[in-house]
Amino acid sequence: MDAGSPTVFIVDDDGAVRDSLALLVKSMSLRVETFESARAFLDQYDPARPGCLVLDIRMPLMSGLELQQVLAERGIAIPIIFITGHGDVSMAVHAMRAGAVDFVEKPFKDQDLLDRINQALALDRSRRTAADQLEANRARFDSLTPRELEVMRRIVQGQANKVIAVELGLSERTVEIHRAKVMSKTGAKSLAELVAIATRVDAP
Amino acid sequence: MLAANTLEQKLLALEARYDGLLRATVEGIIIIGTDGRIESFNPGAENIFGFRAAEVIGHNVSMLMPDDEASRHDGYIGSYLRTRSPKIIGIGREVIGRRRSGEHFPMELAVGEILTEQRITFVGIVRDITKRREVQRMAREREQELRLVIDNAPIGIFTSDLIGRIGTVNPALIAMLGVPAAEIIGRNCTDFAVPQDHERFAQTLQALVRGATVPVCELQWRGRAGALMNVAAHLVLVHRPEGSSFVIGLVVNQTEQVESEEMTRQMREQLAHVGRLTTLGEMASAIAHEINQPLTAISTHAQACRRLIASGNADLPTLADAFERISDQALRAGQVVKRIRNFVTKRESSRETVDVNDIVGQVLDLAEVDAREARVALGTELAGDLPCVFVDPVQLQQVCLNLIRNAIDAMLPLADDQRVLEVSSREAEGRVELVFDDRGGGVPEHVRAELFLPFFTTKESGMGMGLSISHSIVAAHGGTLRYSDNDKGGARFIVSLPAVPE
Repeated sequence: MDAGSPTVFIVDDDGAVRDSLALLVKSMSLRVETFESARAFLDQYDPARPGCLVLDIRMPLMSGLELQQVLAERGIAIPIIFITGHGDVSMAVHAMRAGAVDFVEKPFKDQDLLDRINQALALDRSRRTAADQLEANRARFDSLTPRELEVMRRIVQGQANKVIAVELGLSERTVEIHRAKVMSKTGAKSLAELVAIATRVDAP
Repeated sequence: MLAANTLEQKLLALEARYDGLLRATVEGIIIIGTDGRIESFNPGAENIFGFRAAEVIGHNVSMLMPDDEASRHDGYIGSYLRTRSPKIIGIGREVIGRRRSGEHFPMELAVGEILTEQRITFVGIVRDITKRREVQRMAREREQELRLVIDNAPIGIFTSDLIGRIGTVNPALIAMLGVPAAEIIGRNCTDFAVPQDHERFAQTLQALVRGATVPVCELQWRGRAGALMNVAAHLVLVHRPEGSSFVIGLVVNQTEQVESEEMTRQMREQLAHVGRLTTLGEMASAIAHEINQPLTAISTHAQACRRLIASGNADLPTLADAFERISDQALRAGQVVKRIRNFVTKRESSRETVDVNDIVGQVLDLAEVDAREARVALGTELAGDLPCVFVDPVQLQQVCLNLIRNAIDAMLPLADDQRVLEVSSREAEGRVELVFDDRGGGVPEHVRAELFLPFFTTKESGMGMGLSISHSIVAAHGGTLRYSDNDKGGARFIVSLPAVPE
């Protein structure tokens, strides 16, 4: 387990349940960290760390739902699996609407929880990959010159080289050179791919 | 001559003595002849009959008698003189006399015969016994009245000797026991107590006879056909003027009263039990959570162990630790179940001498479930060295739990950090008090009068029985449950119970 391997963060006010969850997660060779309150987690969690959150829904002072809300407000997108008790269905529904990955009802089958943890870690991984890619794409766009950017915007809008040349007062040959630069800098292999990347990074 | 002279002197002296005697005596002394005529009538007789001697001397003595007797008197004398068989002479009897006013009165009459050589005379000595008779009559009447009181008294009365053998018994006691007087008199009063009360009753009697003041003895008696009755027996030791003593027993049958009290008690207990069930019903979700937690810890630990073993990565210390936690959590779940079972199991009420602080501790175990869910901070300030109270522990727990839950509900509208409930105990003038302070705004002035009435509630989903039941439980323990505002802007409920003397 290197520093970049994901961690399962467990927040539960009940020490016995918390420890049992920790042992179960350890039994599948995952890194685990436990917190006895929502506040303790907020104080210590570094959003850069990959992983998922296993969160008790009923807790004094700050409940699981409230923690979910605070994380959303701070733009922290760690996947959350809620642990609910009997009769907390309405809370669970609320949690799912607010974007939780899933919930398990206490007591649960180990496999059910572990499946959800794996699912949540996969989601976190793909989100982080997507975010990394986005970051890379954004960097590529940032390397375009103002003229190349202008040409790209028009390409994405579907304008033909001839039209772009007339409107920008350039020769058709110059437009073709700019176009080739745009494709190579963004790494797009087709017009469709360029459109997709441009949409994702919400290029100006 | 000298002899005659001496004789005359002797006679004179005798007569003077005789005369003095007649005058001095308060008895009436009347001398009559065989013809019935009065020959002598002393001042005592004058006083008694109201006649002057001069008015009666020479008249027939029958004038001093009621008419029916008067007409027969001469016949009595004649009969006596003929037969010499005395009817009154030397015997004396009580007869009726007649005064000058015509009033008849009882008198004691002794008659003697004076025989001389010449003639026979009779002497009658009269004692006016009007007063004595009056006193006797009054005593008789008083006795009769007393007899009537005893005979008609609505409570059983008996007298016994110092070892409890019954001498007399009144009709109420006969009716109470349902056996004839003959089967009561002579038996020991302790025989009527049921075996388990026999010794106590006998000891009470012994203490009484030793001179102790004994309290009213409440016990069960067995009457005819084994009928059981609850009686209160009050024993009193009485000394006769001549020095001997006896015992008076006053016995009240309070079976109906005891039964009605018992019924009231049972109803109160049933209501309290229903109250506990209701409370528990309302707490069901929280209690389910409380049991679900250890179950979750157990099952998760067990599954983790199974995985560790299956993976071959299990180290013994980790497994041992997990197993210890599993057993701890099983005990934890068991404790929750036990607390609940204690709280709702239907059982006979039994009072014990307990420390209220222990009760508070037990209640907090139950109440913490609710408090945690409602995010109420529970604080306690318990006085040390409190006197004990004599209560049904479960019922007192019920009262406390009810007050705590009310306080929690009252604080739900507040921000989390303002939900504070403080439970304190203290001693106050021979009483032990439990005080519950919340910050929930208190009870409005206009509803305070109804606060402890059944079906009074300010909650949307409340039966309104909690405070009413709590109030009656505390009252049944000789205590009070009262309300006041507190200085932290909330309600204060005070349970005040009599302390058990050290």
